[in-house]
Amino acid sequence: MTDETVPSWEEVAHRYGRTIYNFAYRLTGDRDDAYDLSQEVLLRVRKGLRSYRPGSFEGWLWRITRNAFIDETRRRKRRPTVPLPEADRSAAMGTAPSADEALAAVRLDDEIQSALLALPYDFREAVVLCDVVGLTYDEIAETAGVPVGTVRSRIHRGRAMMRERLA
Amino acid sequence: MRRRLVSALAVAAVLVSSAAPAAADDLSDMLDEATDAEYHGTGVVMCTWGGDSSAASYEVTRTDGMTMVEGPGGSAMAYGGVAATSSDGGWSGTEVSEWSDWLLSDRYTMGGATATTRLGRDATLVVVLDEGKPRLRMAIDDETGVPLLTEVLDADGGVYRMAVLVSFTPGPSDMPDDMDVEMTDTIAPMPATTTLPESVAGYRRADVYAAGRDSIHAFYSDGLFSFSVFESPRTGLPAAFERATVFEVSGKRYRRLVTPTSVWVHWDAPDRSYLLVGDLPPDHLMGVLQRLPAPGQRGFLVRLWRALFG
Amino acid sequence: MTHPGDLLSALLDGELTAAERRDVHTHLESCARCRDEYEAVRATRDAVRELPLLDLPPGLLPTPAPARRPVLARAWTWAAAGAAAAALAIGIGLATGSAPAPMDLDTFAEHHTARVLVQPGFQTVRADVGAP
Repeated sequence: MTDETVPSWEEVAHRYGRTIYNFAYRLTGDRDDAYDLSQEVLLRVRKGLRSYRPGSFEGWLWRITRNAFIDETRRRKRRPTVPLPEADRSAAMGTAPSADEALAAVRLDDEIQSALLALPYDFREAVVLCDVVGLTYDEIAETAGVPVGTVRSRIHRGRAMMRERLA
Repeated sequence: MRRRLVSALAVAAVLVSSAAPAAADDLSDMLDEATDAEYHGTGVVMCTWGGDSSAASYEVTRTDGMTMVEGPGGSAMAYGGVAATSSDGGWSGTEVSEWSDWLLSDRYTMGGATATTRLGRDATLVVVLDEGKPRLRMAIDDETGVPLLTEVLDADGGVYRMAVLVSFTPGPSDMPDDMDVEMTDTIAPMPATTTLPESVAGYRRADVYAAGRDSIHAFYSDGLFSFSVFESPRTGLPAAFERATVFEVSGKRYRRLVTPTSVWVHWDAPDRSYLLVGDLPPDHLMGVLQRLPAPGQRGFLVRLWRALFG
Repeated sequence: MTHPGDLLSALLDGELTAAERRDVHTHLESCARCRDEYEAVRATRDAVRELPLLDLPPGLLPTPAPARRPVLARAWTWAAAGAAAAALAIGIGLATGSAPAPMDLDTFAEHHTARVLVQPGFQTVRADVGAP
């Protein structure tokens, strides 16, 4: 999509819906919350498109997504739930570590999701926008309204903190 | 707009496993091996269909999971889910967000294999049969599995397309350290329904994507050949097709352009326009076209006439 | 140079200038601590990037109109007949009145090339770039 055209709402929904949903899921760790949030974002996009003028479309879209997330979290007055780290959960269920590769992969995903959720919000957002959504540092800076140096620091420290937790 | 700096490190990170499901049969294994090999080669590819003939030289490099092809029209590169093309120095990238596994149709079987030499290397001459009739002749390098010569045959046994390497060096090559790729498009799956068939003349509809603002892209493959069908509400003949060869299938008229590696077909149906592009041989193409929405005149009055009088 | 810290992630993400990149690489050659940090951060980054993309749950996207609805064919016929009569009466060809531009072959060529390139299965050769 070029920056010069204003896409239709349907087009935005089809092109970005899945990415928005995955962004929301990685930030919240909860499918229902991610669903509600994505719906809210798409509604705001629909309203916003009427007044949107060609510019940096992705920057605009992710600002809307981010604001919707922050508003929603504030509205619910609770932080996203943090699932038990997988190690604890499997101990609780009495499951022995399995050699099955597929199972191992699922567990690893859960551990990574837990490590993401354990990050302070600003750090988590920077890591998810970079590694799940695929934005550049400049775009993340524009989305979050902070200097690029701050983005660089958040991403690096976020990854380092996750590593501590995963090690 | 997103930009990506592609370096060897980044490539290692974005590479996803796209291995085909393990297939017991030799042919599937052989084709798999050919796509994994690392090498550098230069060659010529030529396509002939009736009076239409087109040829090009090319250079291909495959290393570290990255493929680069340089031809007369520019360069193309693939790594992970990103395909980038360059025709004027800058790289422009398209990200394919998902794609289905590679599956080889069971209509193909291995025919005879005989030892030969090519470019001074030990090779095996292999024939691939399509429901018992020769479809592909290949000279496959014994060490790497790379086809040094490939001939795609039409139904009458004539050569439709030939690709021959004139130089070949196995092993990894140097790739540019960093490539600045401007990401211009994302090919997103289209959950919408499409009326294009799920399978057509032995080809499976592997993926359906959104294309541009108003069109649908359906990708079909039988594991050996593949093609895309674009379904668009737009009218009018694209300029490139003004000089195209007109041909008929079951009394319906289509226009085709032949390039060294692909055939392009355009037609208008009463309520949609279609473009097909792919590397499938002519007899397969004819079968496919008969199963897709048929050409017919567009226009309001024609539709009205049909609605009133059938 | 001092330990590059944040620049290590920026290096992984292709966010450094050529000069910065050179400096960081030079530093990494001589500093085992930063090499470890680089590897650790890279492993985390890879792990997050490899998290599976979830499918959109049904119902979140706008539903496209079905391509053909035979039930409505008759109603459509009558409406169309009226419109055609009006068009004939005032001498305007509706069919070509607001036709958009022909399909954009370059975009389609790019889509086809990209899809073939990312998962070619078997392809004799892929020399074509762009529309014919």
